[in-house]
Amino acid sequence: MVSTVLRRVSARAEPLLPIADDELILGWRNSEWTGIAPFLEEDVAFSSIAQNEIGHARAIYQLVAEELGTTADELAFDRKPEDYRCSPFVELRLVPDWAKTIARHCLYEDADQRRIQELIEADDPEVAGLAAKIDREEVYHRMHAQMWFERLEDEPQFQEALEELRPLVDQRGEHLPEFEHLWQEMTEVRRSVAGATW
Amino acid sequence: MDSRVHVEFTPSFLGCPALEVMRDQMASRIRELGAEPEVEVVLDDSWSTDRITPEGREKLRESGFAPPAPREAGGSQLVQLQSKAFKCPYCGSTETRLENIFGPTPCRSLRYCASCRQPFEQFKTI
Amino acid sequence: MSAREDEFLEYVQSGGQVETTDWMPDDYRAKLIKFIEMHGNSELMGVLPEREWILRAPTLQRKLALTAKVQDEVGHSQLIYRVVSDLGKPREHCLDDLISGKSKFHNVFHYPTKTWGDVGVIAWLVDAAAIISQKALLKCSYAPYARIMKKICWEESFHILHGRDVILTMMNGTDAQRELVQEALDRWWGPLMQFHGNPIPAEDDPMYIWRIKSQGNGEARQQFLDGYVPQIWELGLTVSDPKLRKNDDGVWEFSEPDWDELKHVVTGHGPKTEERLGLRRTTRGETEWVRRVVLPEAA
Repeated sequence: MVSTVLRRVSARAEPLLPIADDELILGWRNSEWTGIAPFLEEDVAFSSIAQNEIGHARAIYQLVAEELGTTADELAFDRKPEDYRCSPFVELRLVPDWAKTIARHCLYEDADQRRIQELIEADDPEVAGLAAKIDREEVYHRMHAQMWFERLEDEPQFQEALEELRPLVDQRGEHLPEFEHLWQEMTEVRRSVAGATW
Repeated sequence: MDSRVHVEFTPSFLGCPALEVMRDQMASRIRELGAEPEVEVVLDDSWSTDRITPEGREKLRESGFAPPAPREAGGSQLVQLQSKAFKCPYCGSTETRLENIFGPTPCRSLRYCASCRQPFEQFKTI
Repeated sequence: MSAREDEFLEYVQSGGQVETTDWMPDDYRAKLIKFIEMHGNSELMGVLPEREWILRAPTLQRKLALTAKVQDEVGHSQLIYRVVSDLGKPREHCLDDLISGKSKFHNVFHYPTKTWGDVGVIAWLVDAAAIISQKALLKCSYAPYARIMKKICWEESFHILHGRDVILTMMNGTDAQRELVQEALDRWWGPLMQFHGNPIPAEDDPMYIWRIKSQGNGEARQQFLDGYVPQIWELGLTVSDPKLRKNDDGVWEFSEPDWDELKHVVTGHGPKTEERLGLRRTTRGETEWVRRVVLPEAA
């Protein structure tokens, strides 16, 4: 466990960890659609989006891991649930509700774009460089979110989902009960054999 | 003589599932040539698909992958992806349409050629 | 058979390839649809044994690789159903027939995935068995199918690397990890030996006669054993078949696979058949409204 280290994170890690944790957990949630989306195209899309998000989380973890004396994998898997800094918004389990899934996708991409833009303008060249790379990839997520927004915007259940989820976007703090379950599942194999390499 | 070889390589997408495989294959090929490899994975925006050589683009096409559109032409815009500017790598027709922004891997989109009725993959612009 | 059909048969048997727009006998078209549709179904059902483990993958790299692998399988089914659709059977019909149990999918996807060891064995050995069949389809008489097979084989070879790496890491790990692998191999050996089907002579196999397939079932099984048993042994694993050995003439001997089990399983009676088709039915129902909204545009 690296929890003790993370109680005192570096100035660099402070703003980055919540972003990485959001990407990790949303990536986990989005990969729940793999195999059961409304279209085969969307199975593929959500799997791709999930991979990109996990890839972003990994790159950010790598950037902060060294100075925290840990690794990307340890940051992703070996913290206690209470040490993750993701927002309840990404923790929500939305499968099999497609309207809510797309609503979160649209709202998240929008909020994430603003956050990444701030990082692109950061003084730290490594952070700025990584943010620019992430932004380049996110273009495709935004296109995908936009396409679905246009498809569903006249659907009452989609509008309701947007209204319901919008207030949660910037919320931080207490984890949702379903986060504990996600964490259990996410770390199950890793915890099953102590000290093993996978 | 310094027999170390330093390689910097940037994944097209950060979440590329083949990153480790590519990194390890580079290292083992360099070792076969008798040098000690240092492979560094670059995590910034300095590489672009615009830097794929004409020879590399041709190899993509031969393997059934349509090469990426240039960044400058707005290759990553939705309008572009849907336009007819994309050629089928099999028959050369521009009668192609976007089937899915996301293809089998993060770096590719899926298109369909209405002319030879062949689905094909289009590399994304990065 | 009409003279035209005779000519067609001779053409494909001498290595000729057929395009979508070419004339073809009805029987050939029907056999193609049946064969290719089953392949599409298998890729799609192959997603389910692995998808639950996507959420438990123990490192970031494994998470990415497994998501990518499963995504490839969905992508393959998408490409394959497109070929079936061009032959006259739309994807939605294929999916309806799949969830109603009318059409079939490969035996290995009817079994449970109990541990992370199974995930490794599936990615390594099930995919290895599959790639042997798929490589033989590169010469398929139906050209659009042969073309996408090139890409599919290329991606499958990546899956095998991923699977072998999962297994290798566990075999180099703790006793508990090695045990997970051995137990998984024991579970999968039977289904793996049944994978390539009954050893009917190629000349009696209609899929071979039309040159949809280019090799017989027995031949494929020999190739699998020859390619992978030495690797399995080299890793320190044992195969649960006491008769398994390679003869001096290079032919592998083995206990007769359980053909009754194969028949039982592929006709919809496998240990996980009902649950997995049930999941497909449920999720298809839950997202029905989305297709209704989008279909005019997506069609």
